[in-house]
Amino acid sequence: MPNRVGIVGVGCEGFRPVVSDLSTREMMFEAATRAYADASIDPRRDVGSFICCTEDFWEGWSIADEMVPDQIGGAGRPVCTIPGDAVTGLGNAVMHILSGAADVVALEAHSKAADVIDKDAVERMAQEPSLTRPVGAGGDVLAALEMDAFMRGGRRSREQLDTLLIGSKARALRNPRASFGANLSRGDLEGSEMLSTPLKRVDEAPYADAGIVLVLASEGWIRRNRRDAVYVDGVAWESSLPWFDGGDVLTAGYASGSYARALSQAGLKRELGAFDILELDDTYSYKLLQHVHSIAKSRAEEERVLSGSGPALNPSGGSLGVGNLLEASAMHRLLECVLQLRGDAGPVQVKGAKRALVQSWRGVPTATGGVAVLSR
Amino acid sequence: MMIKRRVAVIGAGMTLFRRRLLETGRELSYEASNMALGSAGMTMKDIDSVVIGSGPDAFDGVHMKGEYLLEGSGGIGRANTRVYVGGGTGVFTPVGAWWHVASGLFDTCLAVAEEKMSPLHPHPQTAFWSIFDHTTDRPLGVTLLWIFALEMRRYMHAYNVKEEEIALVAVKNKLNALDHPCAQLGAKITVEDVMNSEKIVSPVKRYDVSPPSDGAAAVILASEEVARKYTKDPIWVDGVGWNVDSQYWTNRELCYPTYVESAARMAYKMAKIENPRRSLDFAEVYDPFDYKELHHMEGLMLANRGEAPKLTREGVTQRGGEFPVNPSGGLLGVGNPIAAAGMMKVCEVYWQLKGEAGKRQIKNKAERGLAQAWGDLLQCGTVITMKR
Repeated sequence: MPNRVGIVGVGCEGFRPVVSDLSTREMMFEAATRAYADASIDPRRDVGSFICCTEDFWEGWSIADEMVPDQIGGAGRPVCTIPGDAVTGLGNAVMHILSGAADVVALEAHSKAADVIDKDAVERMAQEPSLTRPVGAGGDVLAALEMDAFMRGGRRSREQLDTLLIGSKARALRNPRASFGANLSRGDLEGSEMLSTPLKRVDEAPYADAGIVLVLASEGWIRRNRRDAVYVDGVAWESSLPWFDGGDVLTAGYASGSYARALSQAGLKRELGAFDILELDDTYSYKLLQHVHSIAKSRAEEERVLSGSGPALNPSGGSLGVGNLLEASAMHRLLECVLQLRGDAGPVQVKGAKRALVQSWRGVPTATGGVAVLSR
Repeated sequence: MMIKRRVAVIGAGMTLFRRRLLETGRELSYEASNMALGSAGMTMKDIDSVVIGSGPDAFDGVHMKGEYLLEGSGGIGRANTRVYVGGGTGVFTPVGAWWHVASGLFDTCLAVAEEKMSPLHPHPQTAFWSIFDHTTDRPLGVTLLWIFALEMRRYMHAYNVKEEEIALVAVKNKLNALDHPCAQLGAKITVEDVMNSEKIVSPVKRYDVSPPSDGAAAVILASEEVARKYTKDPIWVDGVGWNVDSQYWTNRELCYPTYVESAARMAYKMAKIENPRRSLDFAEVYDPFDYKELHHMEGLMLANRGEAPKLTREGVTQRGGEFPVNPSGGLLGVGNPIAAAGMMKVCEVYWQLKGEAGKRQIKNKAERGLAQAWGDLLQCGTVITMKR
């Protein structure tokens, strides 16, 4: 990346299945207050641009952008919404800085999924209205069909998925930001409710509420103000064709394409061994397998990562353990990696972590996601 | 603010603006994108990023509308971003494309703005019922037209402006739109026609308001190196600005759009414009209502506070006037498919600066123009300045 951009502050609130004592705005306020304190900045003086990642229908507002500025200190300032996941938001924050439009950017994403009465209905509204939506298949059905095709075509077994699930849920037990940690046995998994063959309840990340804010700054600002930073060495995002429109079910094109561009920006070769931590999207358990497959350079590398002999895979417990935070799911992965690289990850700390990779996916019915390379 | 890379607009295109077009949102996006690519002499193979702009998802009835529009906008297989600041999105979309290219991460960007308002029944206005705070505003049963009426009334009161003076804007813009091939409501009307049109919410009358529309518009942005390969005379983006004020519109002085001034100041600083009235040759000012053109001219510092009605009355803002405002015909004449309407203004600035505006071409040779949009809940300003 031509001029470096660093993350100088993080803050969060919530990370519970239901945050009942705070409204969305209050949750955003708490997260922003902590992030600004962490970065030792005054948002009214120091922040040149504010970005929020959210979608109208999740918020229950038309033009959800309206309600963004007040509680993050952005009123009367350059504020915008990027209706996309937080890696796309991160990319746009980085571009604000690289273009010279801002020196410091506050990036916010949140989930108040608990306030959404019928999440499946919202997800169905994301389907193309003339050809796809009338079929009547919900998000889980579309995911199950892809899962089946991926598992068969990729020669994957239920046992592999169960191993990943048991590991993620166990790691989540140690993560204070995870709501869905558990010590599971294979018997527990066998008994999980079948949602749509072969997708079981346990394969799906349960929804959770949280608000997260990152503060980014130019390298010049970081040096002038003598701040410590986790650097964004590469960030890329992309859309590929969804499988039901003819896209590839084995390889997630958005993941492989973003990975290639982010590596190029970071000046890295395609080698997952270059990373200490991988925080990859696992909104559904099979997506974790698919995402590892999509970024690994070979089957051997893929097996190395999945067997635990490569970089730490989702030490946070992933979305399966922490929860599905809507557009903030990617933000949680970024947060976990920043904390890891700063040595602040507490019970889930990966010793000596220097470089991390974040990979995101926006969920059914999209084939959109991104990759960020972070280092310290 | 030190801008690190020059960015040019090298192509533009737009669809017809109409109510209830048969094309889907994807098809409208495709049509506008294809025209913009064609005008730049490019294909999608030459584009490495896409920025999509669109208003509330409620219009199209599609959640994650940016994802839905990808296939019509060339977004598959490349980086794409949807940017969103309510009604300000149309001008913000090329601003988003600007930072994609100015950052150095991309060399080219297709910026496409789409709006298909007609799927929403019984009327597109119903999308705006849920823009209000659920606790403080919605229980009042307030609609967007009501608060515009409040703002119009406040503007008239603060500066002693008569309804007839405001009506001159509608007369001018609808006349200008007669020369726009994509326009929905070009017409030769009089002040009396405006005054006698149906009263909606006093003092707002039918002809004070722009019509709901369907449509799309697009521009191509490129780095200087790429731009010079495609054209000898690129149009440079030399200033961008955006600003969003508090959501609590009831706490604001409604007679003056401070957020528009703040967005303009950001753009002017980047463009090194100290006196906008002198440095700019014309402006495409956001005019969903006729009074908003006057309101925004003042926010943009193109007129002193309360002075815009006088400039309009004196013919300064006519297409043949000293400082043309909305030579396209604006939203009042061309139509108001929200995000696409703002982008239409950016297209118009491009065509005027290129000398490709046909019958709408302003008489004085234009070197620099401005496009502005406004949105969210009376709280957002977006500004772009472009020069030859």
